[in-house]
Amino acid sequence: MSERRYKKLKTAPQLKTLLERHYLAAKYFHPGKPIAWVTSGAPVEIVRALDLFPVYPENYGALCGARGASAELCQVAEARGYSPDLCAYARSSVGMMNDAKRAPLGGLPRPDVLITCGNICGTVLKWYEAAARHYGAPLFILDTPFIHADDGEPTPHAIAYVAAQLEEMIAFLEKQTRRKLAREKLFNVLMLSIEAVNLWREVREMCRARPSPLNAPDLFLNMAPIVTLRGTKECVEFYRALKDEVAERVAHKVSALPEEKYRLLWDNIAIWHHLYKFYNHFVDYGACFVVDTYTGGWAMRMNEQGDPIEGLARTYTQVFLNQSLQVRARDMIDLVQRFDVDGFVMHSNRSCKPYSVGQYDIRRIVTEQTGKPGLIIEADHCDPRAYDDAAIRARIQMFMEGLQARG
Amino acid sequence: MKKIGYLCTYVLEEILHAAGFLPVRIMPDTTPPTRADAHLQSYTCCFARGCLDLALAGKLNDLAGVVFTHTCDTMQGLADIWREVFPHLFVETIVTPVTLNSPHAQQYLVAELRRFTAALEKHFDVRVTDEALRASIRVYNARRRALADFYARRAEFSAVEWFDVMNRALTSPPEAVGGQWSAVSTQQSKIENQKSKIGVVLLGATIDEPTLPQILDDLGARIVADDFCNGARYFDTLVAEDGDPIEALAARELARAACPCKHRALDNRIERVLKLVKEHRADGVIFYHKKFCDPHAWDYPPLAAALDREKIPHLLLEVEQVAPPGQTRVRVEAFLEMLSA
Amino acid sequence: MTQEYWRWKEYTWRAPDVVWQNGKIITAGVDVGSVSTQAVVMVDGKLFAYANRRTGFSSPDSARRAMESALEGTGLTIEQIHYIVGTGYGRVNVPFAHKTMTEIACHARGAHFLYGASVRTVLDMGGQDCKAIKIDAQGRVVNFLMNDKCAAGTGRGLEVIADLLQVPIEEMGELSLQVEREPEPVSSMCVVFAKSEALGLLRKGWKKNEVLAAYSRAMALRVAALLRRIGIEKEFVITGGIAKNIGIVTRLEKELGITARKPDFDTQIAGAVGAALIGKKMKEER
Repeated sequence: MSERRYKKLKTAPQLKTLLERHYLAAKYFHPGKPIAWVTSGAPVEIVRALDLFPVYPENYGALCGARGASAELCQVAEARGYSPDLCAYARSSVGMMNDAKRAPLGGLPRPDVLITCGNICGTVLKWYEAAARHYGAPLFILDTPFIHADDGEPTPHAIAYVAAQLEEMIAFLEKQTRRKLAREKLFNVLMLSIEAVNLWREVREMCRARPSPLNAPDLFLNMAPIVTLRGTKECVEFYRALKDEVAERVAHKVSALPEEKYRLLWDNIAIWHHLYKFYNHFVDYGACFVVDTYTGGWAMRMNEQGDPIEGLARTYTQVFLNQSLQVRARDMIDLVQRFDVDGFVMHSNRSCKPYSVGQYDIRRIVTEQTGKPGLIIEADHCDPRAYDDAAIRARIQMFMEGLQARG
Repeated sequence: MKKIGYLCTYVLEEILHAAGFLPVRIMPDTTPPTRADAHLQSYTCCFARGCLDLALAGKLNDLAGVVFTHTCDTMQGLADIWREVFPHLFVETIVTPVTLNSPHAQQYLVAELRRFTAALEKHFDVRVTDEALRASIRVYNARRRALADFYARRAEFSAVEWFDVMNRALTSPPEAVGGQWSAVSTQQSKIENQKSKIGVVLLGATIDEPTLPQILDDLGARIVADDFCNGARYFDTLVAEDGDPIEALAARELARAACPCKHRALDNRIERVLKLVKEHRADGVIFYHKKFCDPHAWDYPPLAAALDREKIPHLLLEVEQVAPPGQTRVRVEAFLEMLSA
Repeated sequence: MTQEYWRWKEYTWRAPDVVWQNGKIITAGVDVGSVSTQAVVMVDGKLFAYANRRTGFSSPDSARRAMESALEGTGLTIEQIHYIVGTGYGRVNVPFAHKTMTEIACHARGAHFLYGASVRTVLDMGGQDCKAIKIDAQGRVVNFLMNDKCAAGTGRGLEVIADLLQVPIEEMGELSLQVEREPEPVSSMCVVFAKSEALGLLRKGWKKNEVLAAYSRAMALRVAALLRRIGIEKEFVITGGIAKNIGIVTRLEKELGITARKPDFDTQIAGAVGAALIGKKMKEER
């Protein structure tokens, strides 16, 4: 069992409590709040404004991976005919649906409604259809047209389409909950979201400092509240505390690693099932992941002015996974330069095609523009059976020795 | 005549045709992809890798452009890879809606089609008039009707002949309709097919090469119906020939038989498949899936469960570039043995 | 290789109490596999003789050699056999066969004959592929799943490791069970990578039987996944050469929580037996 080999945060217990409470409340105590299964890129502000209790099967998938339960759950799904090439989050979830006793915490609470938004991938459409069949729960699909434009701007008709669907989503949830949405409440939840997202962005930006106060696993673990608790007061409070602690580290030049020799950028989802073991290979070389593209997905710009519905439509359509490889390469170049990294590592994640397809070209573009070398590692974010530690170590060794040689 | 290639049956050929191009379906050939590995991981489907490989090998140099629509995650990424590798080519994606049953889908799609048409007009300095669109719609509807007729006479043709006809239809001018295909049916295949007793329905995305049809012919089984992108779903539903042509094209997109990348209703596809089996009195169903094709892989468990409930036997084939002949044959043969027992 | 550890044994068998000259219907089944070929001769649906030979480069020759071995010293000739069914990987290359049937149909029928009418799930682990077959009370195929894409659960897969560890194939099973504690299974999805993983373990100081245990467990897990997909129903039986590997069989049973009926005959002949029985049915229907 690997352990982290870099500085532990003082806010770590607060994080733990926050998430434990979330899962306990989801299972045992959410009076008057129907359970909504929500995808990570869905506009949860509307869900909270109507007093539903959102739970995140993707976050739960990460938990299954981290707790070593995902392989078994995936096998349950595969026994039912689900291809082992499908997303491991989804396979774990299907496994949980069919055999909850093998799942951590005895599984997620059954959904009263399902809300899926395609801005992250096409898998969530099929996954939530499977959940809808299994639980007989009503399903709402938010269709956010993909942006191929080089400027990363959605078309006006795409925004109009998404905004119209958001109104439809409100009507759908009003019907399910027999409540009426108070627009004022939506506005308040939105403000809380914006505040949390801004704080999270600031936390990430502080890692531009030398040495970096945080390493990638810190970012992965601490992003959980921004995904699962976005729109709540607790979420804002947590990120205020985190920001204070990180600011303090920066002020005293406290490094996440014992000695930061190299600064790296990470691309794609974390390797949850081998989180510490994998990143410790880099710690061996004094390499710190000071920035990543994944957790930045929830550091998006949200509009404080203007029509909130249109603002939400715009924010959720423009998330990075709904953008072309050209835009993502540009964003990565920006991060490489601003965070002053020595190289970057891309996780070619067989479970996540939208994130991984295009990596080979992004890598080429980024190296051409910045001169920094990139390493591609093949693994899976949630299926430990697709993780070959010996092969991965060899590749990391080659890459790091290459960086060492560059001086 | 200049050609524009497309990779998905949801592409609106009429718009390309009205702009003066011959729309041509791009299908991978049987050469194992080698160059595509520099851009696409090994866990992407052979359709994506095969089509890109064709382009990288220079086999698509006669195409003035390539058009995608929004379907699965791999194709979504491929569209941008294609743009990156061929920066001077016209590469566009028509971002079709996923929720076909959304009350806002029509309005959105109409606007998206107008955007696409404008981009096409701008790049090639052409005008796509309503009149030209209506003429193209009539031409393509005629082809759809001819294919529907061909399907109605399916029993007269061998499976390989069916495959050839569909392949040629998708790569030849739409004006050449009907006539050339009736010549395909020979006296020979008429007689052979009357001997065939077992009828199967084939399900999948595309069928790119004739290994399976050949095996079915050898073993004396008939394809009574299919749900392929380059099969029955290609010509499903006509476009209205009156009213605004863009509105009519959009309406057909939303009404036609849906692929697993789209959502109309929870059990829409299941109902369609069961209907196909019952209407054509099929003895069994063969899933012809490409490895790493996520949308079809997701539909498999609920479809298999529905077929099990109705006591309809089914077989799953998972293939790569070319269906491996020995492995495919033994499975199909064993399946047919099972059906005849 | 100095010693060919991967060689499977060849043999013949004759029923002591069957007189073919008194028989009404004489049929035969020839199962030409990628690794071995079996020929089975039945008289009125009763086992008369069989032979197991390694498959050489020529399938027709292998089929003929196996047939001749089975008939040797009986006075019965190939021409006198009423109906011959060819099956297996090389089934189209049995020139003297009247008909070919897939090994799926033949294994189903063969398992039904050899084990009895209560069999519902047949697992066949052969030379090159591995299949799970569901059958009904008459020995007819109800459903099947094949794995011929990877070496898990196949003779080829075992040969790779037997060769690497320099252990005779027949001893692999027993050796793999001689461990105090069951080690973690090798993690590689593919036997090619499992081989390099096994090498790594040996270098770390693992003993041969420990590596065998890890490898056998990994194989058993893959085969178990195949069986779960088709659904295991009692009685569960195993045919094919790997049924003789007690290391894999034991681990498979443990993983699935079900015991396989132990055979009191040679499990490798199931396919050819089924073929011979199907031949009998064909002859009767003529």
